[in-house]
Amino acid sequence: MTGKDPVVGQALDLLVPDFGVDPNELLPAAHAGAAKVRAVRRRRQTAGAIAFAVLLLFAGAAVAAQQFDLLSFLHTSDRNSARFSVSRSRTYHGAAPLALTCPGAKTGAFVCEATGPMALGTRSYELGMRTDKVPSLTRQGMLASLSRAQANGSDPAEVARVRDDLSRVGDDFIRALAVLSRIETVGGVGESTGPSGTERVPPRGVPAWTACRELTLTTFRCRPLAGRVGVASGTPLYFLQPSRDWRRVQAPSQGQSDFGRVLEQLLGRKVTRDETRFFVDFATVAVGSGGSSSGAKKYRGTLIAGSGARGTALLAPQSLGIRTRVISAVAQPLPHGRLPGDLKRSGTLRLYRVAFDLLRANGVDAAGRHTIYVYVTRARRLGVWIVAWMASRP
Amino acid sequence: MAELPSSHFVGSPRRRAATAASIEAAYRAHAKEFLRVATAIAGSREGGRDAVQEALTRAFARRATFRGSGTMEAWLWRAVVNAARNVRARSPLVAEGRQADTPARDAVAEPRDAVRAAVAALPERQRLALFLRYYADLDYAAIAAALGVRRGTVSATLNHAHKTLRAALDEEVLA
Repeated sequence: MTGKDPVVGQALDLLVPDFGVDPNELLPAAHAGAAKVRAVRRRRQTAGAIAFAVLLLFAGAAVAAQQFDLLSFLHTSDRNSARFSVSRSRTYHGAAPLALTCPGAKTGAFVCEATGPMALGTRSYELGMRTDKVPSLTRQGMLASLSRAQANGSDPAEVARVRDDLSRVGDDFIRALAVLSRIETVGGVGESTGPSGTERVPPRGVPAWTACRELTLTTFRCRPLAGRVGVASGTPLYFLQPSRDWRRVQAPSQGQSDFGRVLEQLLGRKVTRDETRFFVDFATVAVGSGGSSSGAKKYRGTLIAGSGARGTALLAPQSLGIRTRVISAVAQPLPHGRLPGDLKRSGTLRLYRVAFDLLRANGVDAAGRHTIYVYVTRARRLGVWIVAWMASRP
Repeated sequence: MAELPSSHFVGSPRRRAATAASIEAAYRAHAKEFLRVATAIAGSREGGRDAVQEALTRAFARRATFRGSGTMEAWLWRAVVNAARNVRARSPLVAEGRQADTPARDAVAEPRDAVRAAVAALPERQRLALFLRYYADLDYAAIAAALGVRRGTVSATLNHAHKTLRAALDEEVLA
């Protein structure tokens, strides 16, 4: 066995000098913390019995969702992405290690070890993000948001216009929006789409994305994310690291706007002009106000803000000042290394790959399908999400 | 080698359940090493302290889940390393590549910055292996158990780390 290198040892001593430690200093707090954790766990066990009864209600909701074909909508043919719904009531507060190794990753539940990043030769998953809390979309809540926006300095005339728009849309539309707000899509695992329109995908049965919760100190129980209903907010989502057994397949084509299609499915009719106008106005004008103080970078002079991260990303192409139709906004893990535009990594920074149709050539870009990468972040003081950066690559 | 007292069953290959006393004993025996490694990973003394406390809390709360398939020392090391990595990821100052505890501008500040930059440039696996080897004085088998890799991997990782660091550090810095 090689000994220690004295030069390296000397250098590391400079970095963290030897210091005295009182072993008793941390123990009382650790014991107290553990007692608290155990008490919470006992309360959860009691709550479990109550939750079982509540499950019956969820079952009813699931039947309703099936009538809208929502569950089948969550299952896509794209093996690199995952579409799922987020629970409005459940929150995960547990740990989220940066990486996991999951030798038994498969279609059902499987157990992973939190020692992941160092291990080789097994299925390695890296933390992509945690699921966001689902915003509560009700008519009353929207009216309250409008009032807040006006108090924060939004143009009263614009707020009045959106309030008027809101009065023209029905409750069924707001209910449909609330259902859609719970659906998230994550992707980008096998991003290397070649010139022939192909991409690499994991072996069949191995999930590209997985949702995990802690089982023990260092082990986690994970389930495939794709098609999952009611993922607790705050759940850590992990994406698979490519390995030699990945296969190259034809990349799925991006069809018509999923968002619009499902909205119409939920409503059982076409979306009206009033509803479209209200949706765009509410997200762009009413909720975002005075965002320049948040330090967000403007892109071509337009501030974009919304009540949810994905919704804000969906609105990003509109700031280009040209007619666009948004196709999809798919959450991506933040890239390694330096982020563009001096963006700082934070718990509220999200990256989305947004595909949109340019309805008319603008002198620079041709009409047709385009993809941009949009960073959104939460402006804490305003309580809204804003676009921080847009670029043609992440 | 002398047999360890029963309260120190660290390293024992036998399957045993963890008790609060045994966790506490394992911690007391290596408290300084746990804190020093956690400080190095988390990027600050405060962060290291938080990480060790978090790891201990979880170990006490979930001691029944210790399966005894490895050593308790490795179990605790994993918890501490993971907690420290989580602390570092949560800390915006460190995530931006700055040191949370800005050292005073003294005679060693400049070489310390150079060392910090050289260590930060290493891949994470090499960094962790170095910290465990030098700050905790763990042998290759113990590092392998703590990081969940093979012993041979630790050897190769440390060799790479030594070469890279030696090349990166200016002799003047270390004089």
